[in-house]
Amino acid sequence: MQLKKNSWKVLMVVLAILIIAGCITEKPGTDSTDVENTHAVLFTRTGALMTLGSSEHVAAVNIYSGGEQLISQNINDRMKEVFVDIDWEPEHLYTFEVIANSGAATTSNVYAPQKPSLIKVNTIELEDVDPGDISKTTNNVEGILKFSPDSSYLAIGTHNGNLRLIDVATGDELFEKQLSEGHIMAIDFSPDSGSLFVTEESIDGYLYCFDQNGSERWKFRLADELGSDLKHMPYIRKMAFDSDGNVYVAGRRYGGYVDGTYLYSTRIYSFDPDGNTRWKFPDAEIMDAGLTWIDATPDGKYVVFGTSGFGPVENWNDGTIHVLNGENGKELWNYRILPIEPYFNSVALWYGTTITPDGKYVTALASDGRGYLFNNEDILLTKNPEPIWRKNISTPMEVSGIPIYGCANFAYNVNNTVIYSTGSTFSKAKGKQPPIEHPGGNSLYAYDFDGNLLWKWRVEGYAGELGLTDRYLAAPISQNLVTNNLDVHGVYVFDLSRSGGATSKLVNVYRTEGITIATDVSPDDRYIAAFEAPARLDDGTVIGDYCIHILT
Amino acid sequence: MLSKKTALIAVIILIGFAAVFWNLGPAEKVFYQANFESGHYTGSDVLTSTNDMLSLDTGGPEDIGGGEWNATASVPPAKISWQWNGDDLGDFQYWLRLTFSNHKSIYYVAEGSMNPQSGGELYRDEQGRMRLSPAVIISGIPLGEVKRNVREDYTNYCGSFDNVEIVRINIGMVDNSSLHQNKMQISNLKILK
Repeated sequence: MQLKKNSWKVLMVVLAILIIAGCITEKPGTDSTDVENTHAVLFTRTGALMTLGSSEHVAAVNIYSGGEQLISQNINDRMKEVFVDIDWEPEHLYTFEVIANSGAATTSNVYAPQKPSLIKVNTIELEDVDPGDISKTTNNVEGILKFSPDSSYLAIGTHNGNLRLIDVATGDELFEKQLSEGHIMAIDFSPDSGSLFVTEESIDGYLYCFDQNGSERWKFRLADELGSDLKHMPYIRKMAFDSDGNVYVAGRRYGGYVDGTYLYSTRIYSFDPDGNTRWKFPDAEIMDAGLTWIDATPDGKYVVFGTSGFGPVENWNDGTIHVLNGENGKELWNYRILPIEPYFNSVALWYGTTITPDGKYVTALASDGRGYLFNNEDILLTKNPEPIWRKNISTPMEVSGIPIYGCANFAYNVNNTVIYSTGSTFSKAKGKQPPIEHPGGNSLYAYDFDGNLLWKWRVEGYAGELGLTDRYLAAPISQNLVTNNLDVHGVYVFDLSRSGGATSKLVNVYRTEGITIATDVSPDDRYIAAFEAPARLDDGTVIGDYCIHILT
Repeated sequence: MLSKKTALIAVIILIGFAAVFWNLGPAEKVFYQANFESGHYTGSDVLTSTNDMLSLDTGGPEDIGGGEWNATASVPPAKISWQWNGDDLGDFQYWLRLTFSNHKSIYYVAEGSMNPQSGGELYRDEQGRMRLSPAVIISGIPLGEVKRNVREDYTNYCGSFDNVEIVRINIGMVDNSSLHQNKMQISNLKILK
């Protein structure tokens, strides 16, 4: 009996040991054994990231090259990674020295690569959204973002009308607010970064001006001017500023297709920094042409916009570039682009009418694939508005009897270069899909002011609005409707200061599983924000997340 | 005839042993282990291999040369480890590269090594156009045992794409110096869950 009792106890002890052993050992195939990455150095566009393996108390970091000390940065903190600003040269040898708090030094000799890497520094998760069907770009979940001119803030507008302001340095959210049940259509900052301007597509169609805390400074109700109903709501798609903080906006409302006519109500407005209306164009009527884009020179002398349409209207022609006096809104000149018969009976200048900051050149991009450059200064002198050149970039061509064209989207001016961005390929034969992708579609084209093609890049999917600084170009790429390749989504970053063609300028690509719908580059070049959105595949599978990737 | 109590104890012991066996099994699942004799070689014949070790020995310090080893794979980004060593290094290339199914690639470059000639993955897209997908270069990796969390490296530097796989592994060893022997050996290359 005693033996039996002892056996029972022994068994209980053994069992306890077994259970404890089971608890403290690792499960196979799990991630419980975290890998401590070894020391390493990554070169980015603006510096170098040293990963130290484990968290260390770092006193200072020094960088040497060619026997010279280039950088000496005091840290005095416990860190696992140290980022150092350095303007490095490709293939140069650098010595990185990390001084520990104890005084011990660790050195690493590293050759800089030909091209920098992109490093994700933060991911901002956003609200749930209903993914769009990937078969059409017009189904895409929307979202916009913008860095402030001083690079301190990132403003984010979501598909559901949610507005956030992020402190870029800390990643902290400064404010969040729900604007409306409609979409946020445009976000921009005043030149001093002190005011945030936001527009919405809603029954009111407000233009809001907020301070950095999200307090409303003033607002303008577009519906009072252009009308509104639940089906056809007004909004502002684009704003421009001069250096005094005056804002210029393109107000629009599409009124539907009635009796064979596409109805538009559009107007240009200029407000001072306090929200007072400076002028309207036209001053005494509403235009009946489509209107999306607007640009202005920093000195406030010139404002440009282009009109669009899908057919004839009564008063205001489609496909017309207008240049206004920014002081008073009076028209200085205009030029009408005629449609390409027989494929089109109208011209749309959706997003491609811009002016160089010095006011000398005006660019225009027609959605039928034609790019134009005008010499504004000469036209003002000669009173003869004619383009100095025209490029047929993605204009209609027939393949197997089917006319196809690459929809031309955006035009930009940067560093004496005109950049055109073309998009998806469409067929002009009713009911027939394009048999191939247009050779000029889904591409970036860069021309000098003499019309010479400087470089061209065939992006691998649909390019949204580019993020641009004087040095960097970031292209958000979403679906390719012809190849249906899901691997192409992401943000493609180019260094415009590099010589050579587009392959040489292509710095790197950060891929996203979902579609990348928007991007921006901070004016100090340090950060790139990429807006990823989910999309629904034909089999119902949803790919990607609704989030922002902050890269450096 | 076993008593109910004895049977219960036996069951508990069996469950306990099963739990221990489950937990004391291999802690790391090996997705891939390099066999250097089965890969492909490019470049000169100064690269030699045994089953789990790849070596470069160009002979005397005045001799130069090098080459590349590569093998295909089909494994998700996971943890990777290898052991790399070198003697009398100077003016050399020494790196390991992972190429992913979406043409992204990461080079792990040894401390002091020059960078690989290639800046990324050249490939033809669906429409036959030659394209470059620039690589991520992670430099300054110390010699000895190396462990990297590839999923973390991929997510931090390449993208958010979840369904990506490692499709090729390359190792480059090049002695460009007539002053150094540049002996290199890499072994025990494994991709682990």
